[in-house]
This record gives sequence, C-alpha cells and structure tokens, in this order.
Amino acid sequence: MAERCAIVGIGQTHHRKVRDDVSLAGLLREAGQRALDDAEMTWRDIDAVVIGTAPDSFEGVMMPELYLADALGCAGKPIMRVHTAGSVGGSTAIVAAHLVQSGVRKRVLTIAFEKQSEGDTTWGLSGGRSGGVGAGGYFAPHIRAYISRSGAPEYVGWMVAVKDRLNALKNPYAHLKVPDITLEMVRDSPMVWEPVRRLESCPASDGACAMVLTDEAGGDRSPHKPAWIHGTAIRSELGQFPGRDPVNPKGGQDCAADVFKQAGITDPRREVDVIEMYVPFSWYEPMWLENLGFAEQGGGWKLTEDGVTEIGGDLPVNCSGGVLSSNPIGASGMLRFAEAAMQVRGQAGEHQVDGARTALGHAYGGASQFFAMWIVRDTKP
Amino acid sequence: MTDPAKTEDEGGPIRFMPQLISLDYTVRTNPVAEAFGAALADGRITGHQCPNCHLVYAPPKGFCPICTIETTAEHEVPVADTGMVTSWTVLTPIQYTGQRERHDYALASILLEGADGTVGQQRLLEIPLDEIRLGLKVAAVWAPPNQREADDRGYGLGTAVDGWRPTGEPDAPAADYREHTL
Repeated sequence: MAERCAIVGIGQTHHRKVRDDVSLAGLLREAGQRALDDAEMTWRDIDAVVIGTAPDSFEGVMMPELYLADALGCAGKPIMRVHTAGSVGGSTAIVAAHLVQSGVRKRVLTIAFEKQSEGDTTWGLSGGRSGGVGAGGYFAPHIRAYISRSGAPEYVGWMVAVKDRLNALKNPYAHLKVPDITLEMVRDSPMVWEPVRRLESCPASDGACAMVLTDEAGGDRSPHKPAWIHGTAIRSELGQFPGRDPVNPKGGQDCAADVFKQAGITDPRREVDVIEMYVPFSWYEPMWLENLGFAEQGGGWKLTEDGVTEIGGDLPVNCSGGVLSSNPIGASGMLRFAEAAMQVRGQAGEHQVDGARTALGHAYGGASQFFAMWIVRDTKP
Repeated sequence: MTDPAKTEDEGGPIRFMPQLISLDYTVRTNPVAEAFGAALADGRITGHQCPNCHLVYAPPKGFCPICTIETTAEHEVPVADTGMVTSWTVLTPIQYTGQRERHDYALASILLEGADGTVGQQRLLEIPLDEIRLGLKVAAVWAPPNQREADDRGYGLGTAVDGWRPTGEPDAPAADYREHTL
C-alpha cells in the first residue's frame, strides 16, 4: 500500500456493567468525541466512518448502523460496518487503515462498541435455546487441551487473572477493578466452565473505543505524537474440521507471521516491546503467546510464570487490564489495537511501559477462527 | 433478552423493561442434513468420506473443507456410535431467559470410531462429574425412536442421542486424543 497511515486520535469510554446514562449512540459519540479531541479535529473534518460491533443478538439491537449514521455525523459521507465476531474491533480498525493506505480517504474515524446491558449475550450465543454453552463453555475444552498438552500448573491461569486485574487498577477506563485480588481469591472463586473459574473470566461490559486515522500529511500535522502503522493482517478459517487445532490455530500463526513480516520483525520476542492481546479467559495469555510465536509450543506459560508479561517484565501483556477487566465485546479488539497505539505514543498514563516503541495489537473471534493484528511504532515505516 | 430480574425496581426510575419475543420459522434443510437426520432416526450415525484426502466427516458437511470438493450420498460411510472423550467441560448453567438447565453438567468433544473429526458439546451420562477424563471410552445412549430429531442445520446429533455413557473399556492413550480437540 502506497500511503502511510498514522493514528492521531484515540478515545474510549469508561467501561461499566451498565452505562444507562447514555444511549447506544451516546456511547459511540463519547468515544468518538474523545478521539476527535485528541486529534484536535471536529466531526466535520472526517471523510468516512467505519464502525464495528459483535452480532446484533448480543445486545438485541438490529442493524444499529442504520440509525448511528446520523448520530455519527455521516450525512453526505460514507459509513460502513464490519463484522468478524469477537475480532471485529481489530478488523474494523484495519478496514479503516486500508481506506487511508489505499489513498481513498485522508481522515477516517473508526469506532467499535458493545452495550451488553441492552441484551443478554449468552442468550444470544445460544440462539435463544436452552442448554447454550456461552463463550466460556465453548472455549473451556480448548483450554483443558492446552493444560493437558503443556503440563502447565493450574496457578498460571490464576496469575494471569491477578496480573490483569492489578493492571486494570492503573487504567481509569477499566470496568472490573478488584483492588485486593490475590491468587487465593481467584483459586477460591466458583468454577463456572471447568477448568475456568469466575475470576479467570471476562466481565460483560458497556463501552466503546474510537480512533482517528490519517494519511502521512495528517500524521505530520498531528498536534500530539502519532503512532504509525507498520503492518496489518487478518486471517480466518473454518470453525471445525479434522486436524484443526483450536489451541494453536493455523489462522493465528499465519496472521502473526504476516504482520511481523510486514513490519520487518524477525524475532518478535526481542523486537516487540508491548502486547495488547485478546485474552477473555486467563489461559489465553500463554496459548496466544505460543500461537503468535513469542514462545515455543508448550512454553507460553513459563513466560507468565516468570513475570515476563507483567508491566516491568520484558514482554508486558495487557497493561491496560485487557479483556479480563473490560469486555464490551465489539470494542474489545479495537481497545487492544488502541492501547497498543497509546503505548507507542507514550499516552498510556499509569500503565505506560517505559520506552515502548513497537507494539502489537491482537484480536480473535468466533470459534478461535478469526484473527486481526497490527503492529504500530512511534516512527514512520 | 433482558433479564426480568433487572426490572425489579428498587424505588428509582424504571431503567429496563423486558421485551420477550417469539419467532416461529420454517427451516429449509439441505439433502445432506436430511439424509443424516433420517439415519439418526433409524439409530445410525453416518459420515461422508472425502474421495481425495479420505477423511471422514460426521456429521457430513456435503463437502470437504480441506480439499474444497463436494461430497454426496455416494461418499456415505457408516460411523460407530462409540468413541472417546477428547476434551470436556463441566458447565454451571447461566440462567438466561429460556434456560432449562439448573444443575452442573458435562459436555464433551467425542471422537467417534470411524470418523476423523469430533462431535462437540455432547452430554456425558452415568459418570460422576469428577471422574471424567481424557480418553474415556463412551457409547451413545439413544433417545427413544420417536424423539430423534436432527439439528435443522445439520450440526451435531440433534436430539437423537441423549448423551454418552462410559463403556468400561480401558482409556485411550494420549496419542489417540491429543490431535483431536476438534
């Protein structure tokens, strides 16, 4: 792609169990306005809007993009909606980036969102039928297979849960905050989808995330330090077929290899400074560290155990508190992408990693079958 | 679907109102799912064997997603109603509207003898939840013949099988289930 793309504005809502102080449109405008303020732009300055959210059945609002077009100032402008299940926030940001990189648009606003309190996600996932397993019930057998294969001790899952909840205390926008969290508290929390305990699981949140993406000229004019996109990749695969491995999916491996190649990264473990990874259940931290090539097969949990993934470790993961602390599903992927950009912009406040210059944003969705990733840096590609 | 409990007002303004909807619809099934459903009603599990890679898909998809070629009735092969547990979870059912499950229960991925992929989310019966293990050998507990309804999209086994019970045979070794989480 010919045109460079800069991230010049980032905004997110305060994520909560219920945001009944705003409508769905109000929630998006809150994130969008913050991103515009950061970019020192107005709604009028935007050429196109790209939005993304999870399946309509999760919040019980059909085709919200139809009425959001008006609320987001899209009269006379293009608006489009992206949908790739849980990875949607990531793929939405990538579609927005491609509009800029292709030279078609100069200033694109992208927003991802979910207002889970409007509906019931497990009901939606179950198609309204009894006996639905929900996301945790679906992923639990994959997690069990990972633990069985890797021989990881049970407390590694608790460690991820504690780390991400402690990180969330440093993020003013995070939803779930458990100040006194300990390994024992996680261990003693109820088993919901064996082997996944309640405190190893993400909450249900209302929230939105927005970014303003511009061409190179826009990046050069940016009032605050921009982040620059060095690679974007999306992969998908069929949800089930013999030989497919949901513990270490080929789609995720290929997506990571592609995005690293674009960014000129040959040793991700050494060259990536910080990762924002889609971890809705604690065990996905070690699983995805292996899937993305940061650890050998069966070795991801050792990075967690050794504290490598903590803020202050040499490969911090989910300094924002991650999906385990805030999960407005449709926005969760974009939050990973945005938090990665915040790190290289030096904008992450209390959860900033000192000297972060290269960051990976990662999202996955569906039956671990959709992947979206980007690499951002503080310098131009 | 909004949880009616959320509307129990605590003196403040009403913020949520449940709106329960129902939807009746007719499903147009496909010939592969229809034939699979007819076999289930008859107490048989069938699969399609890809003529190229020879993998057996049960339930049949009508195509091989690896070779991207069509499979038809001529590729149908019988699959046993016995197999092994390749992974499982014990669920504490979330009480969403319409949920009838009230107690913890186990769902497993089962690799059937004669098939190359598992059937997911199969109920385990006649075994305490804390005695389930990887490689456990199981056999189908069929529903009464008049209650065997296939899934209308051709996924899973519908209501044809109530669940799976241990056969008492020795567990399969790890090498047999490791590569078959799905």
